[in-house]
Amino acid sequence: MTPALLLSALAGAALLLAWRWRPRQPMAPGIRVLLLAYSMLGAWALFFGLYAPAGREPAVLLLCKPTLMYWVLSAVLFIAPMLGWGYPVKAVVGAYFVFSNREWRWLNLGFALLCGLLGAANLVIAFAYPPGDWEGFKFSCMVNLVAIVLLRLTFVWVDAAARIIQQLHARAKALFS
Amino acid sequence: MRSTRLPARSTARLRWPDGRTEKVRLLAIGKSGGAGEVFEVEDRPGYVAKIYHPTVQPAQLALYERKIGWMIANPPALPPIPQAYEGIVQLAWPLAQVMLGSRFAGFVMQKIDFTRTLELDYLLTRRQAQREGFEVDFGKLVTVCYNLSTIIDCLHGKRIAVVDLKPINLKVYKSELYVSILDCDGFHIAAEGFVSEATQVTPDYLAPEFHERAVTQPQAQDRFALATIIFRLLNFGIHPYASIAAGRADHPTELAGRIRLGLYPYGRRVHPAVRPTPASVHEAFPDPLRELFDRSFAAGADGRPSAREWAQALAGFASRRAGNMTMCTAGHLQFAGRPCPTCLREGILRGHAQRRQRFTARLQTTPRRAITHVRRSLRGTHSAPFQAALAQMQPHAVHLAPATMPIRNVIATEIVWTLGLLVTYWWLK
Repeated sequence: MTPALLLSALAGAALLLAWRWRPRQPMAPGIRVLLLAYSMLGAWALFFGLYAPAGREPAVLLLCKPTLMYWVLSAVLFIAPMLGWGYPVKAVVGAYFVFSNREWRWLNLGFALLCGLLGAANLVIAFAYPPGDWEGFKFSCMVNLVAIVLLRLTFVWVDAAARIIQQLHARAKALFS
Repeated sequence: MRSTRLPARSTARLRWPDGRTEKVRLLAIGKSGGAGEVFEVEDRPGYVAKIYHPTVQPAQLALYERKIGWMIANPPALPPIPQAYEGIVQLAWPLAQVMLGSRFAGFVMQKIDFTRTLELDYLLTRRQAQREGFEVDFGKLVTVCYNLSTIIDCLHGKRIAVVDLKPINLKVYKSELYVSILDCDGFHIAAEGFVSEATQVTPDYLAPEFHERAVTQPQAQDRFALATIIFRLLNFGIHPYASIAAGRADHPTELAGRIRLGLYPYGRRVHPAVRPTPASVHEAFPDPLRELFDRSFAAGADGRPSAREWAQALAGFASRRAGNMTMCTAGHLQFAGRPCPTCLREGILRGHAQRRQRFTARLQTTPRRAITHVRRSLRGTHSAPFQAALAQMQPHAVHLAPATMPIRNVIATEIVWTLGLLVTYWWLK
């Protein structure tokens, strides 16, 4: 099995598990749109990242990729509240936080603006500055990603891990008692 | 060039001090040291021969020949042993030269009966001594210390020093408590008309003044090593420089470094930079011994006590008639007027075991307590007054909803979120 197939299989298995264990309550349309957008971006990434021969990806897209990503995200975040489809930022940050609707709106708007600005900044830096600066900019974007991961880790994953351990402990106790 | 080992059975000639020579057969017993190999002498059960390795350089062998010749001619007068005790060998001293052909090859010495003896090293650990069939008590330990001191004193009287004095080179007779010193051909000799240096040293038993240079005062070195051995024997194997750092001063990890810096924590005056090992029972030693230890180890101490001083101080404790050793309520021998060291040690170890048990119990419940703590912190539901107050003081900005979603749904959500993150990473990289 090639690494590409293995990675695809892993992603497929993860998605299958996620589908089986998905929450049964209805999903906000804004989040559904975000999921759809990400499915397309993910399919693109999977094809060009794992299957397509090197160099098949349009050259101009290489410089615009971050912008495309940011602007798709920004568009979804902008449009969804206007159409009454909820606040997709909830899916990014995590719906576990207790915020009022007003707070979610501002958070959503702030995130959409940030993504829009970062997308524009990427175009400026990619075409008007030396490649080293662009690499530095992309690296700073990765740091933003790390910040989001840390937020999720601190407020969601730790609690989830604690619940899993507690449930396993309870089951083990029931098994051996 | 001699490079082959001596055969398992070979013929040699012994040259006795009175000039008599004797043809003998040497039988290999498979015991070999750094400088030579030990053989049994056929038809002479009380003797063994040490034959220097063929790799020893001719110049070095010539030095050995001179040294052994002097030693055979000048045996030291050793402390007398009662006639009832037969076959006690206090020194593996050379008695005759061994010649292979016309060439000097080694020497013959009295055989130390290894079935009657055990390494002094074993006395440092009670359990190890018990395994060797030796029940340790403080009366026996003090007697061993006394006997060792008297031998060293006799050697020093003849201007001979051991230099590499350490437990592994010492044997103790299990019943009689006399001490044997091995490897006598490595001694330092500074007699009239004959000088032979000793180059071998062991850092853990080396006096601080000789750590950076050669041992120029071998008797001073012996005094330090003797005090170290006595301290370890009486303190359950704890080295006098085994310590815990108390301040910010330099605290080397190895004993040799601490010896060099004089970091002795067991003195009657507290050392500012180090603390004693918790398992130490030095507080149970009588004052005369503590004074001798302080003079031996404390930095700036004047006059390291001689082997004779040690022997004199220990004699009072080694003799039953002196009444300086009494029985504690638990039946252990102890120094009169002092706490029982055995009970003290048992108390320390018991306390340690209890603390370890408590720690293990806490450790076992830690994951559950940690999970509860994290959950209460996240939900602000701490019941402890301080924690509850802290939770109330939390700013309003971020609150988490109670975790009502089944864990499977949470996992599914987080899988999708993580895949989304990976996609984002690919587009941004």
